[in-house]
Amino acid sequence: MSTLGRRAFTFGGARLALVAAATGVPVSFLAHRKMARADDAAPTFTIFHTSSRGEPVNVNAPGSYVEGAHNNPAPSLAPTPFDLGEHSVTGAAPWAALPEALRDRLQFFHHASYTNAHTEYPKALECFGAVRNAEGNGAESLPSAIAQECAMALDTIQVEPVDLRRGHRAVRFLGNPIPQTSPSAIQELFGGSGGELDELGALRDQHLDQLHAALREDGTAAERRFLDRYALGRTQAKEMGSQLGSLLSAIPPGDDGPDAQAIAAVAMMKLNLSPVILLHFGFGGDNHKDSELVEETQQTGDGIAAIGKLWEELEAAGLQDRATFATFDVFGRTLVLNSRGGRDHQANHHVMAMFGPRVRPGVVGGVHKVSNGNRPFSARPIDAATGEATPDGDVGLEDSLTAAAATLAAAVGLAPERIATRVAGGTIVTGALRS
Amino acid sequence: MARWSVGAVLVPLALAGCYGGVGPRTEADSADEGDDGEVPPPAPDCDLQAVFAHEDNRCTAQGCHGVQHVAGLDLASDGLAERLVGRPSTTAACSDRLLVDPAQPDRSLLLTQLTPAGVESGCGVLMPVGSEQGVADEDLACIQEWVEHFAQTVEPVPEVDHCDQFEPSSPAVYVSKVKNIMTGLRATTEEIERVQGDPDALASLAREWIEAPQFEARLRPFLRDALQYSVDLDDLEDKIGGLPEYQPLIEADLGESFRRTMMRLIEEDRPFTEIATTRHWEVTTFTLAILAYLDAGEDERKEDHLQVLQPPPGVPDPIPLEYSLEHLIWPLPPEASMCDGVTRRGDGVLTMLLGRCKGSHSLPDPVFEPTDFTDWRTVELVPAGQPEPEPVFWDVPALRAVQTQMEVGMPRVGFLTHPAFLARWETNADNQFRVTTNQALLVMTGHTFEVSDPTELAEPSEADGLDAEHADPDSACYACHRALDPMRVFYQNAFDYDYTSLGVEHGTQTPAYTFRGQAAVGGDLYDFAELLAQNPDFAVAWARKLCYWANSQACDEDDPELLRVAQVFEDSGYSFKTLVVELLTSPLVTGHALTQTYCSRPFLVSITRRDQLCHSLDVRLGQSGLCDEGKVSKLVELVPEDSIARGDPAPVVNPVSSAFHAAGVEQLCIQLAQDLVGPGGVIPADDPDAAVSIITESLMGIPAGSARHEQVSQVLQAHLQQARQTASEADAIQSAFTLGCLSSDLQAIGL
Repeated sequence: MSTLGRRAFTFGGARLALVAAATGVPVSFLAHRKMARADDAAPTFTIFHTSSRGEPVNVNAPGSYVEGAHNNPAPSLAPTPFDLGEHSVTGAAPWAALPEALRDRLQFFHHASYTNAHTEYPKALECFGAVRNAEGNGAESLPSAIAQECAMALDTIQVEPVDLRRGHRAVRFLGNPIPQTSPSAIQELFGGSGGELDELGALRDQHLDQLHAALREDGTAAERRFLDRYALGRTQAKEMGSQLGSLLSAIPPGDDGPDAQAIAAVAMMKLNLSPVILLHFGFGGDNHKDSELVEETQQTGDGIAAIGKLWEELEAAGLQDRATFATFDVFGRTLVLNSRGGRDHQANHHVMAMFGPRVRPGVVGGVHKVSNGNRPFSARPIDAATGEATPDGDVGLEDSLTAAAATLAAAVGLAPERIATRVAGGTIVTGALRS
Repeated sequence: MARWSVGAVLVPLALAGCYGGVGPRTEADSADEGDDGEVPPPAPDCDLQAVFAHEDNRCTAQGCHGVQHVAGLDLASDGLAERLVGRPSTTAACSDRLLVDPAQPDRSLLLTQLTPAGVESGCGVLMPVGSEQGVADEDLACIQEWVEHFAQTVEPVPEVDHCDQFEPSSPAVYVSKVKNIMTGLRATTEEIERVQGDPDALASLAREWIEAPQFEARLRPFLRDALQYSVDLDDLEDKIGGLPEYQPLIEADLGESFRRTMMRLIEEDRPFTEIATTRHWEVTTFTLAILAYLDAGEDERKEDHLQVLQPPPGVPDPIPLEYSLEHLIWPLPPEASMCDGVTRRGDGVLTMLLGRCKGSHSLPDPVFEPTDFTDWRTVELVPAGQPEPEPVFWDVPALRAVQTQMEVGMPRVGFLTHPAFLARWETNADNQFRVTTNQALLVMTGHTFEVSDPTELAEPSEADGLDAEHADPDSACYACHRALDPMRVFYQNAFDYDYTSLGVEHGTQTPAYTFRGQAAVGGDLYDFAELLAQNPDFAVAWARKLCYWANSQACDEDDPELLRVAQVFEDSGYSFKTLVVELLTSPLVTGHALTQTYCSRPFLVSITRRDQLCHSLDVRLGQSGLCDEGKVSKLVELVPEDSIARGDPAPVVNPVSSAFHAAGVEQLCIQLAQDLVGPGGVIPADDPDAAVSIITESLMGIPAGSARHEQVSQVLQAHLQQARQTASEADAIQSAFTLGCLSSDLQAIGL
């Protein structure tokens, strides 16, 4: 494609209006966010590891090694003591192998997600209606809300999140599904040269505008909206330029695996492409039938290694202080095994593994046994000031999902008043954040 | 009576320090005045939030109507009055009712759902869920006071109304939109003029287009998602194996069986409800072998089939096929001597019949022949009334002989038991057919289980399947599981969790169907299919599925125009073709007149989604599979593809362009230009006038003689002229092709 190089223009009034008209985000909100962030510390990019599968991140995470829990017994995931900042914890061996600099900002936030159903993934991402739109009404997905809040301050090319996953349930942005864009497809986009045709790109833009001008002039409002959005997409594509292709050159052709996603995510941050990037490494998936936990063993090792790879890429790009990473699934999995040796869905326990510059390392909350049934474990109440699990913590089980969402939003850098608007009733666990 | 804005009421309430602004009244409340100087009526003394939170009511408990809520109703957050007054319920059962009705406060859902009498005369179910008498009198009185107070003091916030912004589409636009959706082609000048002269002519044209050969191809992706079947069954292919040349045939056979069965119903104009009830399936010999294999019991699958190079004593030499079928001794040719003495069982027998005698060792002359994958015919699948009916799965000659009817052990009826549907919805011991049941409902009714569904089961005590451990009767989940779990028993009685053998508890439990006005106890999957076919939501559900397909967005379920279309569909005896013509020529799709849908959401011009784009490219350029090969097949991944999400009545359709979409289509168009312009391509690289003509009329579909044709031709000619200044003639024509390909004439639906 033709390359115009780096950003042709920044968020001026005209562009603001175009973005607002095309995306549906109110211009007043966009302008407000731009100004509100001018004197504040910048928010970070957000990298969401998310899926509707309900990954067993929770079962081998620090804080989950409690009496009666069946943590993965494989030697490669052996319980290993290690430090998260100043806190000594025990977790699966690969967590301990992550670089110290990453572990100094790595946290495991134990909470509930209140659902056992894959179908409720969209609702879980909306914290069951608690995550709201810009005015504090309606429902919005957490990635969408964070993207809207951060796009102007980060001066990103587009407001919408980029979804690097393949074949996963879509996350919605202002009601529309976000298309999934694999690293290999992006590579293909920039993998070859259109030769002379690339050079003629500017001329085509000029003539495409002419073709559309007459349609715009005679068209209805709906027709003009399409043309505006299409034009914005083309403008954003040119801002993205072919730099993305060269940034992805380290990815083997056709590879959409965890490392490829990690490389692509950081490349997109380098280009200020989007405030939020969605990806999925996998930690064992929907492992009901995973007898002997073979998949969980393999994927958890690979998934944690991919988090390490992501960190490595961030550090290499000097972006380690500009990204917040979080795992946010529809639910966690049982800390006991089912009759086939796999794990079933667990509404009352999910772990948000999170790292970022504002994240205090350690374990927030915890898990304990509450019954003898098929799902005997549950997340514990949290003391918001300290982040510790306490029987009388002010963040009860029923409030822990919104607390996780609000705390993630705070870790990303959203102002408390915006979090109050966006995550209704969400308590920010200040003990989970660096002071 | 003077009304007060939400702000005027909530500010004093907020000053009172009340969470949600509805706590006990303080003196400060009465000190405030409205904008016009009038004093608002005093707020009730009782604490509404305390009533909602009371342990007997638990309205704001987790999974109910707290900050995190169901049914779109949050009774806990600030701004409660604003969310209630004049706002309609978001539940399907009560969508025509207001949460707080300012004109008739007594009819407010917030009140009527709390007493048995109120529910009986209204909609939905009694709240709190599971209660028999609703809320206590004292609590009801408090809620009543607040409802009346809200009704008197709060001005409803008007719903966003797009009616005023609606602009009707012109025939030139919408005739092309409809033809494009149905065929991939754009309308001719004559077709547009016919509709300009007589708007009713569009229906006549649509009836012509529905018979065009392109229509079936357009329907394929729609049916794939609407009927939720797998087009390829990788797992089956991996499991069975066979000769390499057979593998794509194995993989595609069941998906094709399903598609052909549904297409036959459409082509024969059968009642489309038969998608659930038909026992007449399109099958090949191989399809029948798979069905027979799935019917086979443990004993049948465990029988040893011996492969021999030399017949043992007493066995005829050569071994005739009839002997092999009876005695399970199979001859090997000399080139397969490495398999001598190897026995096969179960799916291994199918693999042997498909040309693999051991591991990857091939048999030169397998029992299954290529024609066994192409000998399509309609076969009625008749319940055998006993397991392991004849013929057995290895009796290929007998399977070939089946032409009209075959007995089956497991229920085989409609889409809901077809292996291609079941392959898409895997279940397990935790899920226990809940997904299968729910997806079948979504196909036929467009609805899933809702707490607000008031349907009463006739004899609930007779139904099995409730699982207290999975869904605690005291939990919010139970409200849906009480209907879902007894319904899944229809499947549980018939299948094991991998759908490959009869369930351990086959036929021992009593299912119950309780869903949106229908209730029945007992029966089997054939009865379940009949219930689905009789569901009153069927017509509206399928009209809405077509809305998504055509418009990339929903049509309002209660839009009178949608209901009219659905009624015409029903009155036609559920003729799918009638539905297609009626819906696609309706203002819901054309946008030539305002409908309720376009008051609640703006009329949308969508990007051309992947299936439509690839189809349009093929038919407009006279090619096939342009998106399937080479670099184009990868680039087209950047164009959003339709899909479905488990449990979601709405398909996933993305109507909006983005940076990656725009970049993707640009590179896709460049690649196509390089592939198609020049020797051997469809566009000459040395004849610019001919190239411009093909780009304008074929690729962009702009009819010769129209005003836009002249304008577009001029722009393309200008592009060629300017491009030639730096590029060769061939490159200039490729660039012009790219320009046409990028235009909204190809990249938009409805422009």
